[in-house]
Amino acid sequence: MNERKPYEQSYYPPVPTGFTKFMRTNLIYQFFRFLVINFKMLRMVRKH
Amino acid sequence: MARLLILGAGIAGQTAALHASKRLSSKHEVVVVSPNSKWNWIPSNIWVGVGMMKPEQVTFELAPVYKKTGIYFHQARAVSIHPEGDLSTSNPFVTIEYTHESKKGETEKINYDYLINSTGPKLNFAATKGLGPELNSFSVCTYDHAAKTFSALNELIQRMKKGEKKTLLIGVGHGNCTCQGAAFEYIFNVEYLLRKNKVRDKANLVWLSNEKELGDFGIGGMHIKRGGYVTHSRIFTESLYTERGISWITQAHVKEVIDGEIFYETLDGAEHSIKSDFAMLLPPFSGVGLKSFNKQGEEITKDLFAANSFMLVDADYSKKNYSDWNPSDWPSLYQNPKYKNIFAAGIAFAPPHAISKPMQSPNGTPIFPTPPRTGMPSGVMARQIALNITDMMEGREDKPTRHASMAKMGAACIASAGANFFKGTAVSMTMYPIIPDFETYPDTGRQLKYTTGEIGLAGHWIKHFLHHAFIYKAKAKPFWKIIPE
Repeated sequence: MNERKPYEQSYYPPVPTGFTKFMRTNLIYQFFRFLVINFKMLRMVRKH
Repeated sequence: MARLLILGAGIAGQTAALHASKRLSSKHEVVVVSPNSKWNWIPSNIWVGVGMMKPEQVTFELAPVYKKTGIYFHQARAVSIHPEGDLSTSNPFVTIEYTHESKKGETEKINYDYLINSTGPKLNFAATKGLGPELNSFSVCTYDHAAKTFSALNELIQRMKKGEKKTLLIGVGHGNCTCQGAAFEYIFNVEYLLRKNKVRDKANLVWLSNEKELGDFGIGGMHIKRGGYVTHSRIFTESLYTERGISWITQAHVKEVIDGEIFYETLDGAEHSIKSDFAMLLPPFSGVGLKSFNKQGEEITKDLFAANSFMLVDADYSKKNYSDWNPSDWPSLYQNPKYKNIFAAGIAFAPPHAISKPMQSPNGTPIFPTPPRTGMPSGVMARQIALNITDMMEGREDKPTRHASMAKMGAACIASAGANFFKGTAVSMTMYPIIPDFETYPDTGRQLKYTTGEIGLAGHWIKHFLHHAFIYKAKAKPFWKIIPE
């Protein structure tokens, strides 16, 4: 795995904190996001 | 009695066939011609390529579905279109050549009243020397390719488990490729698989693409609201690559692939090469190469097809600079301007131009993504075409009335970034419109309310659910019609 080193490609982009990564797979939060994303997608479908 | 002939049974062809057969009265016919006996949910080929699914889980036999729905099916490839008939008949027809074992090589003329060309693309591996699963790189474009790719990847993982270090190169294999999203999904699923097998530290993962910047995806990228900022997808994509330890090469046109090494030119005109132990590079697309002839038997292919063999429809094909592009350049009916009973859906229609800004190197090599038109847009346009045609066949309308321009259409996309029910993630995106409209939305080209993106486990659940939902729908099981395109 590449390590971040000053002035190299991977040095500049933002990286998620441990909390952000935890929330990405937190079951309770992701269940809520599941509902939200589905709502957004259905809203998109209705625009057709 | 009138006949609707559909060439191809992919996402567009199957959508059109099912909607048409559902709406037409029994006096009319729907006929499908496809060289493949099976339907393939192509988005899940990514999971076949990492061994999460078997080819049988992403395919099913077409014939029983067509028998159930009253659709006539010929397992054959279309060879030529004769929109004026020939000297013996004035009925338009398509010449087909059977691929089914029982009639292999036999040809037949199929008359039509309306024709939908939804053949999908030709996978043009030949555009790059040494590219393709028959030569020096792998692909996940078909379930067979994906299965072969997983076999090679698994072998590589076993060697990494013995301590060997390997470089894996994943991306696109030509300066004019599209479908960066599929390659994106593959590299992140490979990364997840390597972690799962505890060999991530043995792998150097490299992304290789023709995009100007990461996150372009052939749509010029997109802006979303997050953390108090309106931010371009480039930032989020670079963040994800950095987080997962994947380095990237962009602005690249692959010129040659040999065993263990890839040669490419970048937008600044420089020539490079990179050694790799495994290369999954998607090919550029072209039309399947259908010919067309008039009543006298003279070739009129240029009346129906653009130079890249995609079908001409109601788009503005005049040469324009990027600054003069307009959303109205894009077709809304997908109807051939000369032969009004011929339509094209999905990848088969010729886009008026790219969506990403065209660029070329000082050597004159074009290096920019061509426009994606798969998945949701493909299904939506196929449905609208089918509804328009069935209205005309039933005498309700005398011309198409429903429009489905990609400039007035949104899209939802889920890109898998690791497949596991508890630890997997996927990027969930929505955008509106697909074709940026800088007159209506001057800052970003898209409506921020409907243009969103996030990564998380919920996206993986949705991706998995959609896999089953779309296969269910394509099998025309009860209430299939309530599942949107």
